[in-house]
Amino acid sequence: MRNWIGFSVVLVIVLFVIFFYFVFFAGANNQISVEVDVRATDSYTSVDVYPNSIDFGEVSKGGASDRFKVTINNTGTENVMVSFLINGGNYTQKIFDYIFVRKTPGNDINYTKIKNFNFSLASGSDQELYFVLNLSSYADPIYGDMIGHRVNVTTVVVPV
Amino acid sequence: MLRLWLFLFDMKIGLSILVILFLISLFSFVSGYQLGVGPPEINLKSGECLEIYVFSEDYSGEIEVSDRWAEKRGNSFGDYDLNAEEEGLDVRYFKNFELNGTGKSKICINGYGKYYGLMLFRTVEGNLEVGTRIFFDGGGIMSRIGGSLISGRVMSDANGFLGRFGAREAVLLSSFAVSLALLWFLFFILRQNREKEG
Repeated sequence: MRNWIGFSVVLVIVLFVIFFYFVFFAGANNQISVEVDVRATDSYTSVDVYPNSIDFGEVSKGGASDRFKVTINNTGTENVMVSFLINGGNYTQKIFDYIFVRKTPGNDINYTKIKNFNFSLASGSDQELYFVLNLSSYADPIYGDMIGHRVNVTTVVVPV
Repeated sequence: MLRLWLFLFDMKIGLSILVILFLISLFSFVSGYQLGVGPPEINLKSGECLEIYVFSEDYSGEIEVSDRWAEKRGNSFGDYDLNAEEEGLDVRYFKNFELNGTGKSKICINGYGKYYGLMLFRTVEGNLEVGTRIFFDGGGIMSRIGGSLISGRVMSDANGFLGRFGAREAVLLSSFAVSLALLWFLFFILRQNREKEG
């Protein structure tokens, strides 16, 4: 009995070694390593927006926030038209209608209300935008503090 | 003593640099998203279906799908202000799906008339919406909205744990498991035999 078991153990170990030899070494000689660089030929629309959130900090009626930069990069094959859509969160109180945008960082350039702002962006190019929350023309009364007011500004990209 | 002071001074500088680098890395951690859609334009006739591919390198999560229409081809999002239902178009697609790498969304349209539309795919957490233009030509005859028109299933890539294994890996793993089980069984018999003899 002991001989039979010893023989079985040795047999299994030998089979094990043969199996792994064939799988990892003998089989490797029959393999052909294949490599290719595939170039994209299909057209697509793609953009990269950075960052995806802005915190305007503390802003009072009559005042304005700091300027925040957002970069939009057209990584697709098509020219696109970019616009913005405000929804969700605390949008009902219209504070966020007073987000203004412009393309250039200079102080002498007028801002455009985010609702009316759109621009075209050529394939492979990027655009820096400057966002500000300006409540200098906000007329409605603000009786209580609005802490942590939040809204979704969706960047909408459409191929031209 | 002087050496000790110099050593401590060096340590202070090193620590300060580390703290500054750590703070810089914290401040520069601002995320953005990329979203792509292809093809940029599709042409559909009444009763036809087509698939639109959606992909992202850094966004994994829910994608919300919507459509907007216009009677003339527009250049911007605001030009597409018509609702499909009000125009008598039956536009079918899944309203949302989970994106993990690349996904696709099937869109089917029934109706009549010529319309220009947008299929919009929005990253729910990233607030980025990218569109594909649609040109729908339903002809002049009202086509019946049949029950056979079933919108396609949105699929995502098989990126799961099992999805990464091929047939060769499966055979290898199962063979290895069987061999291990056989070995264990033999040793078990050997042990029992020894116990009997003992």
